[in-house]
Amino acid sequence: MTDESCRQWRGQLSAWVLDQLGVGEAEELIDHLADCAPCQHELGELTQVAAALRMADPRRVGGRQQQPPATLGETIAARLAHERAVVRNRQRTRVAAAAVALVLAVVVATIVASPGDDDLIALDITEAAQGLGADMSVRDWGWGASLYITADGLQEGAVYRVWVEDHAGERQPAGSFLGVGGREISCQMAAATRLQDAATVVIDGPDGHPVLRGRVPAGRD
Amino acid sequence: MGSRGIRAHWLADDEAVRAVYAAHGEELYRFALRSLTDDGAAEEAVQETFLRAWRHAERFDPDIASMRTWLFAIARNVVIDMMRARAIRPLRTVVDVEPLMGPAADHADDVLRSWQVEEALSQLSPKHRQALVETYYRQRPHEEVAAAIGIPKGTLRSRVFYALKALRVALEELGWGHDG
Repeated sequence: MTDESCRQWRGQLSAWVLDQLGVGEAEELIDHLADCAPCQHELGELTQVAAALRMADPRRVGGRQQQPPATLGETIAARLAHERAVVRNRQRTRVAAAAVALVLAVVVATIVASPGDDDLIALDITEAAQGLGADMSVRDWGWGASLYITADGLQEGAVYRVWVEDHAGERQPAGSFLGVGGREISCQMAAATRLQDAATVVIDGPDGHPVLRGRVPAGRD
Repeated sequence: MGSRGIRAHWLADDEAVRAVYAAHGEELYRFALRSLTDDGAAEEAVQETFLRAWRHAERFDPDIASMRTWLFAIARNVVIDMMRARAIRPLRTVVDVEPLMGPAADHADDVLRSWQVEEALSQLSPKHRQALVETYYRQRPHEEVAAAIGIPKGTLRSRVFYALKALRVALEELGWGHDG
């Protein structure tokens, strides 16, 4: 049988799946179906749709389509705009809190520092992953720079890699440390970059993407 | 960072939100209204659906499901939550509330399927819809319906056949069978 010759059976097929075929016609259709694969396939598809029909409430079909209030779209746009603003503010607050902590650390360092600590330079934290708090400072030694890092909010057992980037974006490794969940860590590292050439200190998280960036302040000797 | 990147693609600004709402807002509202039978609750449900979609934008993967399917999956959960909240709100005893927890999800799924079929039927051409409503839902004999419309019985049957085919396409576009 070809699809074309099956056209004449389509009406019977739809009547069959909707239980509207008389006995005589049903027998004819059954005979046809016995050796017509396309019509068997068609019957399978129509049966699924007919089953779906049973799920509808006929009183609700074809009536006027209910429309939402005209203002709903704008209400949703405004609400999401508010949510975005809240998230932005939260991120800003976190950066501001980190800055305050940094200032305090510098003040404390100044008060308690030994004479050699005059050369310790606090970095400006320009980027911190969510939940991560950190302070960083550097000191020039001529042979390179040493880094002092305190951080919390680290992932337990994860490896963090520290780099010093120069003004051309070239990276020098400064070592790595392990995250300890729930506790602040404090560590000291070193990189083969002279302070005058250092632009940024970057800490990469366990997935290899930066989780923290600290900018070396400009205008240092 | 990754989630912010994906979010930026489709709900990151007012324009993007309006575009998604224009494409799916009305359908979501009708589904919510069908489920909750209350204008205010339906509005709240659509708002909550968009809010959850925005908060979990990183979970949307167009390779797995269309945005419509994804939004309806969220709307279904919102409706279930609202049904449960309603069941609890008028102070009931624990005995009354507990049995409603499972059936709320079942009921939401039933309503979603019913709504999909009703929405698909509403999208048919008037002739196709009439053919199905008269012959199937009203159970009128083909001869009677054909005579009333003024067409041969064979033409009516053929029309019912094509109405079912069109309904299948409309159902597939509404995510029939993808909403688990």
